[in-house]
Amino acid sequence: MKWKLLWILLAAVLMAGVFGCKKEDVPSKRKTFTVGFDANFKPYGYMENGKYTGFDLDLAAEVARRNNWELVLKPINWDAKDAELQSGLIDCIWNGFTINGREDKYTWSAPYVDNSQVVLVKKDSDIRKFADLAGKRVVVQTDTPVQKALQQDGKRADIGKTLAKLIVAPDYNNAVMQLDSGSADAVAMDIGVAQSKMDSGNYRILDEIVISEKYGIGFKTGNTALRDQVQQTLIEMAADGSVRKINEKYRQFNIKFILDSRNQPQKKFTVGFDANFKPYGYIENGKYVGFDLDLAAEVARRNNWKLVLKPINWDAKDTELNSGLIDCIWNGFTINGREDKYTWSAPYVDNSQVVLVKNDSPIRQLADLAGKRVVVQTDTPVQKALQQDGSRADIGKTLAKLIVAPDYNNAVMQLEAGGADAVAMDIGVAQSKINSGDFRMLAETVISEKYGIGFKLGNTALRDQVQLTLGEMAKDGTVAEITAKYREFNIKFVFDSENKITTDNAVKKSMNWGIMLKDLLKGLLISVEIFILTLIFALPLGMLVALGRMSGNIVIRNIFRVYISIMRGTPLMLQLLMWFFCPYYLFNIQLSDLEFCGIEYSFTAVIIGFALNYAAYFAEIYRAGINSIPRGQYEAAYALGYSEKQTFFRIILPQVVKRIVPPMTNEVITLVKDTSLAFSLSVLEMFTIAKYISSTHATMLPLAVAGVFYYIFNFIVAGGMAMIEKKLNYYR
Amino acid sequence: MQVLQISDLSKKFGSKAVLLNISMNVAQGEVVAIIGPSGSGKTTLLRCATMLEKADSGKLQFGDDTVICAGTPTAPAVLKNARRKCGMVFQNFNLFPHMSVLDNIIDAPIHVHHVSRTDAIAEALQLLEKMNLADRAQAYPCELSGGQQQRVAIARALALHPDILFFDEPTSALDPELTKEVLRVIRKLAEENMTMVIVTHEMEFAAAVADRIVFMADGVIVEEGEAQALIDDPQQERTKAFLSGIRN
Repeated sequence: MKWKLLWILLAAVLMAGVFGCKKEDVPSKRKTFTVGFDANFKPYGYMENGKYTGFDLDLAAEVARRNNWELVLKPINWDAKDAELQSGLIDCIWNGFTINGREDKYTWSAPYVDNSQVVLVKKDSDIRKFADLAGKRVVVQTDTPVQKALQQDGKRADIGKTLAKLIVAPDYNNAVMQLDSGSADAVAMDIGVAQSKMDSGNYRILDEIVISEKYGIGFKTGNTALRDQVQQTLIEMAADGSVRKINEKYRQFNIKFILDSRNQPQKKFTVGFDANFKPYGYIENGKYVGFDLDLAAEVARRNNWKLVLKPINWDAKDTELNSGLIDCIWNGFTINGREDKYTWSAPYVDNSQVVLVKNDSPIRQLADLAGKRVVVQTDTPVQKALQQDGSRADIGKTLAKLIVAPDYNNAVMQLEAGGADAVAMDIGVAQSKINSGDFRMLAETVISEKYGIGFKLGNTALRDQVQLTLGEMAKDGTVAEITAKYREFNIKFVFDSENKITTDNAVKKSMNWGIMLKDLLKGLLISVEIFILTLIFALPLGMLVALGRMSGNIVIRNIFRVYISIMRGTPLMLQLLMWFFCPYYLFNIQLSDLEFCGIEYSFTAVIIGFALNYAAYFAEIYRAGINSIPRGQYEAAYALGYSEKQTFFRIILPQVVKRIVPPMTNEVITLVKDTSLAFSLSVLEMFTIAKYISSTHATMLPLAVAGVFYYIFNFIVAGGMAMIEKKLNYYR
Repeated sequence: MQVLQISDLSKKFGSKAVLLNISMNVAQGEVVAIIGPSGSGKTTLLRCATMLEKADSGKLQFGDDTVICAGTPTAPAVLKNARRKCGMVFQNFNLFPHMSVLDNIIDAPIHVHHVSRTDAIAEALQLLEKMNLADRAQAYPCELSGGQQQRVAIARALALHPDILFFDEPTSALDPELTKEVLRVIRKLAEENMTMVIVTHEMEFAAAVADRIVFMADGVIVEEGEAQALIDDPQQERTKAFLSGIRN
C-alpha cells in the first residue's frame, strides 16, 4: 500500500514536471560553455582557497561573459579528457594544454601561450649557442619539462649528454642565484620567466630554444564554429587590454600570451563566378579579373579574409553554394526572378538588358525584332523575360525564334556567323562587344535588372558583414576607383544598404505537371530524332570506314586510321561546335544560308557531328567482328567459287552481325545519353529543357523525370538489342 | 585423260622450303591418297593445287586447257575455270554456321552458277540422300555431329560438279565411329569413279580405296606406287620407317 502511494506520488511529480513547465513559462536558458581542466596545473588551472582559479580559467570566464554564455568549470580526470570531449560533456579542454604532438587529435584554437624553454646566461658569458654548453654546468628547476628534456633519456639528451653537470634547483629564484654566484654557467627555464629577468639588463637569452611548447584550447574535432567564436573573443580581449589585466594577476609566473590577430589562420572567402562574363568576372592574360572580383578582393582584404576565386559551371551554381563549396555567387548576378532562392545583399549594380546587332543590320528598335531570330544565354533573366510567360513576352512572341546558347561567347558567335539576327544581353557585355567595332546596340532596353551578391539561404551573418564592408567602400570612394577601371562598360553602381529586396516581382510559379511533361516529351522527341538520324547515317558509314581501315592500299588505310584517331580522340562537344561554326569562320558562309527544308543548320550540324563521330566507333567494332571470323570461312567460300563481294555479304557479314551485337549495344546506349550534348549548339533536347524547368521552378523534379525518360528510352533500346541477339541465337 | 597435272611445283614460307619441285598427275577416275609425316608438305601441296595458296614456281594444268603458271599473273577467267573444276573438303568442315544444311549446299549453285532454286534443291536433297542425311536438311551445322557435318561438307562440294575433289585430312578431327561414316561416303564416291585426291592418315582406308598412294616427306615425293603394293612392300627406307611407325 505504501509503495503504491509512492509510485502515484512519483508519477504526479513527473507529470507536474512535464506539463507544468509550458514552453512559454521557462525563461530561455543561456547557452553553457563547459571547460574541462586538470585543476592541478598552476598557474593555468588550480585550486586555491577552495575555489578554482588560474590564468586559463580567468580567460575562459571573460570569454563566457562576453558571449553571454554560462561558464561551467568541470575538473576532469586527465586520462578521460578525450571521452569527456567526444561525448559532449565538456566543450573544450583549456588547461595549459600543449599542442605539440597532439595536432591531429583536436580542433585547436590558434596557440595563445608560448611556453618555450630557453637558456639564460650572464651578459658577458662566452656561451652563445647550445654547442657552447658542452662541458658547462646548467641549472634547471625541479619537475619541469626542461629538466626531463635534458636528462639522459630526454628529448634534448643531445645537449644534456654534453653538459659537465645538470644541477636541479628547487625553484627559479634559486636557479638564478646559482647563476649569479657563478656556481652554474646557465639556467634553462620558461621563456616567460627568462624574459622577466631580462629587465635587469644583466642577462642574455640564447637564440636557440631547448624545447618549444605552445598551448592551445582543444575543441572536439570538427567543432570549428565554437572554436572560431572563442578565438575571436580572445583576440578582442587581447586587443582591448583585458588579457593583460588578467595576466597581471599571475605576474610572477611570467605567462607569455601570444594570441593576436596576426597569427590567426585566415578565414577563407570563396567567391563563385562564371569567368565568362566581361566585365564582371572574366579571364585576361591568364588571370581572373573583373569589376565584381575587384570588389570582392577589397572586401576580403578589409575583413582579413583569404579570397578564393572559384570559377564554376553556371548550371551547378546552386549546388556549389548549398554544399558550402562557395560562400557566395558574385558575378553580375541578377536578382530579378531569383528573389526567393538566395539570401541577397542589397542591389549594388543596376544593369539593363539590351539588344546587340551587327552594324549593318536593319534592326533599329525592339519592334524590328518581329520575325527575327534572337539569341540569349541559358538561364538568364532576359531569357525568361522573352519567353511566352515572361515579362517581355510582348517582344518574345513576335520573334521567329528564341535561340538559347550555353554562354555569351557562343551567342555572339552565332550572331557573327549568321545563325541569329540579334543577341539580348547585359549592357556591360554588349558594351565590350561594341568596342570591338562590328556591332551596335539598340537604344531601347529589354528589361532593367539589378545585380546582387547571392549567399546561401539563411547565411545572413556573412551577407551582413560583406554588405557592411561594401557600404564603407562606397562611402570612402574605393568603389568609385574600381568603377573607373571599367569605365568603358558603363557599370551603374547603386549600392544603398537600406534597400531591401522586395519579392513583389517574384511570382512564385507553381509547376504545372501537365505542362512539364508536355515540354519534356517535346524534348524527348528531339532526342529520339537525333538518335535515329545518327544511326541511319553512322551504321553504314562505319562499315565504309572499317573496310577502308582494312584496305590493302596503305594510303587509304592510313587516311582512315587518322580519321578514326581524330574522331575518337577529341571531345564530341568540340566536334559539334566545329561543324557548326566552321562554315562561317573558315569560309565566310552565313549560317542562315545553310538552312534547307526548314531544318536549321544547328540541327544539321548536330547530325553531321554525331554521325561522323559514331561512325568511327562503329568502324572499330565492325573491324573486330570481321577479324574474328575464322580463315576457314573465307577458304570454303573461295573453294566454292564465291566472288569477294559475295563472300563478304553472304558469308562474312551475317556472322559479323551476330558477334557485334553486345559491343554495338554499348555504343547505341551511349548515343542515347550523348544526345544531350546537342545543347551546345542550342538544340533544345530533353535534358536542357529539364534544366530550364528545374531552375524556373526551383525544383529538381524535372531532372528526375528526365532521368526516368532516359532510362525508359534506354530500356527500349537495350531491349531491342536483346531481341536481335535472341533472334540470332538460332546458331552458335 | 589427265584431270590434273602438277609440274615442278615449289613453295617457300619465308626461308623455309616446303615444296621442292613436286610433280604429280591424276588421271580421270583415279583416287590418289597422299600420306606422310607432319610438315611433309602434303597440305601445302593440296592448297597450292586448289589455288588457296600461290606456289612460287611450277605449273598446274587442269584438263587440256586450263594452265596456271606460278609466278606469272593468271587471267581471271582462267582462274575461275580452274576453281570450278576443283572441289575441297576441309579438315574442320568450314560449313557456314548461319545457314541450314540445305542452304549450305544450294547457296553456291544458286548464286555462283545461277542454277535455278528448284533444281538446286532437288539436287541437294539427292546428295543428302546419298549421305544418309536427308532428314537433317533443315538443321543447322551446330546441331550436327562432326561426322554429319563433314558429310554435309562433301555434299556441298559435290553440288558444284567438280572434276576433281580434294580432301584435306577429312577424318582427322573425328573419332573412330564418325570416321567410319565419312569413309563410307568417300568409298561410295570412289565406286562412282569420282576423281579424288585425299590427304589422310588412315592407312587401311588408303590401301583399300586408293588406286595410288603418294608418300611425301620433307617437301619431296619419296615414293609413289600402286596402293596395296606400297603399303605391303615399300621400297624406300623413309617409307619403311614411316609405315612401320604407324603399324606399331
